[in-house]
Amino acid sequence: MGVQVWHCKQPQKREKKSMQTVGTDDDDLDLQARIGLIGTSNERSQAIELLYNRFAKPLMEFLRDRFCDLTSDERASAVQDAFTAVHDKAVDGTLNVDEPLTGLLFTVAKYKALDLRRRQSSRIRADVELTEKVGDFLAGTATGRDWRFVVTLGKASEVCDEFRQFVITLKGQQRRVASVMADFLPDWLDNQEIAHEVFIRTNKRITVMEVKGAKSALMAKFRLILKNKVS
Amino acid sequence: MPGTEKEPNREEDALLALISAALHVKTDEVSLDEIRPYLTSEIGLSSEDEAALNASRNPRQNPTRIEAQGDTPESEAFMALNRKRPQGGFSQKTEEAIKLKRQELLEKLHRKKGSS
Repeated sequence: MGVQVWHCKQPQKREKKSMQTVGTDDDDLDLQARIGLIGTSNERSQAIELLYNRFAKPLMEFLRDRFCDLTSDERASAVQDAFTAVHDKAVDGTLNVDEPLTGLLFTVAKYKALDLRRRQSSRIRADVELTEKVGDFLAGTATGRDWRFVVTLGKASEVCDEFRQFVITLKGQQRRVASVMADFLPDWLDNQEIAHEVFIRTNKRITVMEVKGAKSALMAKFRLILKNKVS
Repeated sequence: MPGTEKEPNREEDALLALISAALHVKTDEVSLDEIRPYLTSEIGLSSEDEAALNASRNPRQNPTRIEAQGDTPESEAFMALNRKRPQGGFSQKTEEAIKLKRQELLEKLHRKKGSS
């Protein structure tokens, strides 16, 4: 393949040693919350309150960095759903209180956000398919060469971050098309299918011309960011 | 081969592939390394995010409030939260196991606090 393909801020494999939380204060808070969650109804409420006060904002920021295509309301909804899910598990007795809650909260929030992004889509393929095939598109292209140079400079994540910051500022069709592109490589869907996927996910109809326009705008921005890093 | 029919421009395909890679989020567990930056630094949300977070915390979505309002079994919201718990509650054995686990965690917390 020859071209290094990376993913910004993608999770690494969770190791056994990661069964800790982050700092002593957070360890204590996590433990305190677990105790509350297997207590009375009132104690459960207090435990959720404790978790919410500590983790709601970090969760919101975490999702913002990864789901730039979702609106603030959608990300907030995913955050809220994560707390509800943990509460739900405590009530129905399926919460493993031997494990810290912090990782669970972030993972559930991410899954909720993915659900919001994909909605009723039935076309989603395995992650590995997407990540492994990106290199095929880069091979033998000027873009691929630029990319490889940016990777060598250690600026790949910067390109990624800048681009996502741009996507956050988009409205309407462009953002919806970006949302679909997050799950599909160029030859997986044609413009007609992207328009259909947008409709499946958002119930909004867009034309093939609008898809083309959105893709052009996204490409122009990515190209600009890439060139700026290379020069 | 990618990009020969639907998108004839290979440079465009390369850019589109990079865009997909930049926006894609994998469906695996979140690692502590990913979480750490969000817990060790001060989080300053945008006013839009802050407002959305506050707005999402309404009574219907907030489990704390659902419980506060819905301690009666006939509350629809409360029933929804109990969908996997047996109708008559957990067995006595399970309740005792939960109590023991709670005691164990409490002791752990006391030990931690005592040693810090």
